[in-house]
Amino acid sequence: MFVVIVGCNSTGYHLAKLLLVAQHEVVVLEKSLARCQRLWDELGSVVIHGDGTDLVDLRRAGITRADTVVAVTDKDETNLVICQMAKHAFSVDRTVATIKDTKNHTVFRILGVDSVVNSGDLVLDILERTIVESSFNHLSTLGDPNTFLVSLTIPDDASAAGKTLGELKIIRVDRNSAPGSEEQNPLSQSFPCVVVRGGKPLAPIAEMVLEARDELFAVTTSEEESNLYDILTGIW
Amino acid sequence: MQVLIYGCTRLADVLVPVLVHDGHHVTVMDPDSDRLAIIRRQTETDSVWIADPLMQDFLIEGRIDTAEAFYSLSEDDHKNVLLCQIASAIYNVPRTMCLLSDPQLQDFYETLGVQVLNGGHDFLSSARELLDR
Repeated sequence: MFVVIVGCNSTGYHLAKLLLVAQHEVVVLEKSLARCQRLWDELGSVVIHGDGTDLVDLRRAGITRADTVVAVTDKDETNLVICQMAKHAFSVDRTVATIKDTKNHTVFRILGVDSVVNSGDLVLDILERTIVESSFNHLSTLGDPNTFLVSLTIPDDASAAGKTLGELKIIRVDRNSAPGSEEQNPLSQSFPCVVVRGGKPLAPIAEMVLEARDELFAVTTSEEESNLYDILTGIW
Repeated sequence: MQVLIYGCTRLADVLVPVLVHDGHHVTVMDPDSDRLAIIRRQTETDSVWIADPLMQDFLIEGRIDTAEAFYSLSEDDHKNVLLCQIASAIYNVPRTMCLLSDPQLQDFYETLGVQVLNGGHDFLSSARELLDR
């Protein structure tokens, strides 16, 4: 794959190194000459001195045949301009932008940026997890910033341990096999995806008995996250 | 008309009194409170002091949700591009205008359908035309 990275701050630099190791073709476009000179010694000719919002410089970087353009400069607005140019002036298949302001996620998606990575959110999330231990691990957002994949290791003292996923009402019990249980699931937007027990992945079914130290992966939303957490850790 | 302007630049100094004189209700936003104070002293206008224009909370404070026109007149082309597109795509502001000093960006964003203002000698008439549409 041929990837053009615009901006060689720490994100751009490490991304370029990762992609080069994985045998991809990479060009990094960096505006600051001083930074370029430092990088030429290490990364060689993959670093090009130029402005990622200049059509001529983008063409010089080979953007016309790029499969993916990644905009990782420190400014959200500049990353938008880079992605819009890549998409509309050069018809690049896939554009990726990093953002710092969470609220820009929606507008970037509406304006045609294919993937938006919120670096600010990721850092906040890790900080929150480090400070407040009792919460899910947020692994990834899924399309929408309010829908995410989370994981949780069932604590030893959880009252959920020893109950089935059906009893916990996080998996709908099939009406045919359990007549009379007409009760709705309390959570409509949360779905367990896989349970890892002793290093082995197991498909979650209603009859599965949850054990302490199981690692459960689930999709949930910002509204239902705390409910799901309460059910799984047994505070309810 | 309810008009919101971002950027207390020289262009705003010229445009704001004209729009107020034309009978429009103008709100100006800028990160620099000194520049806002000057414009507030010269003209009858609401002004909102904002820390970071790209935080949409501040746009709400400037009542972007009810604005009928939005001008982004800061010195930063990229900021103007983002703000104008936020105004039209998220808040459905029917008239937006974006000051761009880079000729390449002017051409590019015109092809994308963004109303571009180039800050040249005819800037005032193009800016006023927006409100006639």
